[in-house]
Amino acid sequence: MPDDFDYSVFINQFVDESRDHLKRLNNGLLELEEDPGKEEVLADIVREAHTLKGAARMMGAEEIATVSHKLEDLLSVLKEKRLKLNTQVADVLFESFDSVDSLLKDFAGQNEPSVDISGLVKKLEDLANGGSGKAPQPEKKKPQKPAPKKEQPKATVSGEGPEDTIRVSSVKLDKLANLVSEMVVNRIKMSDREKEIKELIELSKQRAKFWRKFKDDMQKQGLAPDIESGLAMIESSRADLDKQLYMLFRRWREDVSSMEFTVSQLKQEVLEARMLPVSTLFATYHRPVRDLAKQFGKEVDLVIEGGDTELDKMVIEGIHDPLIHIIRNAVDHGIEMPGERKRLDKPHLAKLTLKAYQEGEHVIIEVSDDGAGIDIEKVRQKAVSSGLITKKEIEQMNDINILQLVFKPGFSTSEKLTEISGRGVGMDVVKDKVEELKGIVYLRTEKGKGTAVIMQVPLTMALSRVLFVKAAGQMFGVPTTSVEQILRIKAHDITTIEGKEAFILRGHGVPLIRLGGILGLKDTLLNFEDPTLSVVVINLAENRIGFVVDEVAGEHEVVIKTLGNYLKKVEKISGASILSSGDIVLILNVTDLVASIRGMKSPPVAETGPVQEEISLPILVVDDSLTAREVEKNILSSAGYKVDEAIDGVDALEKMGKKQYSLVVADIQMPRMDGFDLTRRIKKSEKYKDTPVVIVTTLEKEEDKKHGYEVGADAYIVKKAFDQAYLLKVIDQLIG
Amino acid sequence: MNQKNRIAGENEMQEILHERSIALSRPEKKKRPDTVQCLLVTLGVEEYALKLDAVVEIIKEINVTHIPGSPDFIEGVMNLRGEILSVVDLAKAIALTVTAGSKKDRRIIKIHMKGIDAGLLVDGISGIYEFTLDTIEPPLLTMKKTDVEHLEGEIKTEGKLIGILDLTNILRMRDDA
Repeated sequence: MPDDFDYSVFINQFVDESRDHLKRLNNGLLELEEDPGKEEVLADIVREAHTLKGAARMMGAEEIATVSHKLEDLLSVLKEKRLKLNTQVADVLFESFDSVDSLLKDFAGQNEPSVDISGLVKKLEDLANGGSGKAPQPEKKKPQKPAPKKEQPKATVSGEGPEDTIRVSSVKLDKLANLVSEMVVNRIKMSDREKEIKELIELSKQRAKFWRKFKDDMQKQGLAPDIESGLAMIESSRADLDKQLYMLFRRWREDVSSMEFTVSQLKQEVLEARMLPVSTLFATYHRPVRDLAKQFGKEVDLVIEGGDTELDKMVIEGIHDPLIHIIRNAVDHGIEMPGERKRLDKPHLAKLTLKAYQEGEHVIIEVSDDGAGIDIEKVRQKAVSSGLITKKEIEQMNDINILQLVFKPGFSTSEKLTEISGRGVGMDVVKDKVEELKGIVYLRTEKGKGTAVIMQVPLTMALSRVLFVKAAGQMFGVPTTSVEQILRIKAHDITTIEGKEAFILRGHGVPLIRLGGILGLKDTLLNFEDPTLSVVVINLAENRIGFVVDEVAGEHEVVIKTLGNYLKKVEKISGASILSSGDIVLILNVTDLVASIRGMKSPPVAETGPVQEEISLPILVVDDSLTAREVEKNILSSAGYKVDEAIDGVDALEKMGKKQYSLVVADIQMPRMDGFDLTRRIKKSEKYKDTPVVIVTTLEKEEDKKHGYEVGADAYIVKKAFDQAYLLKVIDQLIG
Repeated sequence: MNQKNRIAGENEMQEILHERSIALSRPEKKKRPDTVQCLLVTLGVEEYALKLDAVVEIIKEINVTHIPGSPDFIEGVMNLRGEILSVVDLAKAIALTVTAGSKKDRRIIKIHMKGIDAGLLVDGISGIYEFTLDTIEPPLLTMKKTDVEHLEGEIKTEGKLIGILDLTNILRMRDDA
């Protein structure tokens, strides 16, 4: 039941938020007093008053709601220029701000209101109504003093004795967290210094060797006693210095490790202090969902799962706006009208689920509905007609990529779009907000079944884990959020799918992109002496891309900074980190990177329904060896094909008579009917002649190959050179 | 150990402060509202003037990280005592085709104006001058329009004409790039 939850949990949040509104109201009004012509400021404070009113209503703070309601009215009158802002008006406005402030204190202490607002309300009303008349009211002699506040009881003193908690402003906690982050970085610097001392010791050892050799040589030549004793003295002082250096190193190392322990504990504690259960946020959505449902004439049940998942307060604040946006979209466009649901035989109460769960260092927040889903075909049309993408480009994109187009700014500005996509109003804004939080967002949808918007956000904003990679000689950071795997592949594992490089990962084709190239840098050439490539596999919204890099330089915990206040946004770069050496590493914006790779060929298997059916073409594998059949079957079915087996040519023809196959893979040497014969028969038959035949055999002589092609084989693969990628590539070319 | 990006602009900074203090110690001169102090910089073979009130410091050590995909006139970002500063190639920003001067003399001038911090990469610094406003002339009519947009005016000194760069315009024009 929507209203059954305990609002008191939110009192602090409400009070803090309202104080912010008051602050901005105060500042805005001050600004207006100086220059009443600033319309945008006026518009801002009208909105502030409006938001304040809404929040107060929701919390049941009646007096605050009433005052801010009247406040909003009066401000609107000012905005419509039916009244001029003079000292009298300003004084009443300031007075009402003060009253709201007092009321907030009472509310926070759960005390009865200490201010009688009736007089104030009347003043606000009079001004608003008077203003609606003709001329602005003449100024009265002297405006009244603000409401008396001296007799107020002290709101926060209650008789319950000292509390064991204190409220600390989140700003302070943020500062602490930032300091801790810097400290973590400094700790890493200290470890670097440790290495440097170690190097110094090594250097000293080498020097000592050199020195001793020199001394021995000198002694062999015979030395005067005073020089001899001088040398001994130098030697002993040098050895002493060495010893001290070593002691310093050991003490330093001990200090660093004890500091490491303290810092990591400190970090943990500070981060935890900022963690809040997402239920504090989720629970506030019952009301908006109910109101929205009513507004659009729908019946919606909000289900909350995983409300006790904890998240950094900053992240929680950050996801509020996107969530409201998504929820609104879901209720407005995703969920069908009750009549429509009835017609479709769906439960009449639509389900909107808010779900949160932790996954490693991230929290996944999922908003899903059981509505109409997004019609991909319509997204496709829309994207092309709005000029977002060319027809040719979109033909090469898979469903997942097409769905991502909804997040494009150009996509959502169009008015008509909402009916078309079922989603999309301002989804670009959602994406921007989530990316600000260093998270990612994507969609999953099934026509008729519903849509889910999935946000993946980091547990905490303070520190981020990034993978350092080198591309075209420059170091970059990739947020580990989106890194699925790091691997090395051999140059000959690279296949080409439609002219683009790719490789096979667990039976799926993954496009290979040179990171340096996509960043517009001069890419370093492949080293032929070591023909292996370092590949970082990015998984973004089930979209895998392998980025080829020069080298992978490990995972690091860093503070990501912005590029400064001049360069606002650079495509493909989300920020920068400063290393302990003082060098800067740019952090890549993976979403941008993936978006810039257009015309990507879909992997052989897409994980969505309709595509799979298209691709699960039946293939007949003909081989007398059970092992060979098993191997080929494995390769093919993991690439998404349906596979049947036949033990020889006769068996094959029999199977082909019962079922249509899109391709036949055949061995040559088989009992009863061999591969050549089988191929010849297939190619001669009117019914089967268009079915491609791929011969896979151990016969590698040129004449066998020729024979194979003569009988009509479409491809001839020698088992010796056989590799699965090649087989799949060939098949893909024939029937893909 | 090898702390890169160590800010070595201290000396120059001192110089500027010194110059400023001299200017301040001559109140009768400072009070004249019709003077302006400028930092003279070289870009290639040409000399330009930057108004000193926007200048925060001069940085000698140049260790700039290139940003792929950024506009041509953006040299990159640098680490200035733990903060990240965008660096603009001033010559490119005013569309000047220059023959690079000696690398040794290159400096980054950190400026702060209108809420923006940026570093301007120049080929060298030739000094600080004070001009009276009445010596400032409008940019030469023979100049191209784009050039005129970069300049607030010109001053004549020792027979040379020096353009005063309009930083607001130069940086703003780049804002949307």
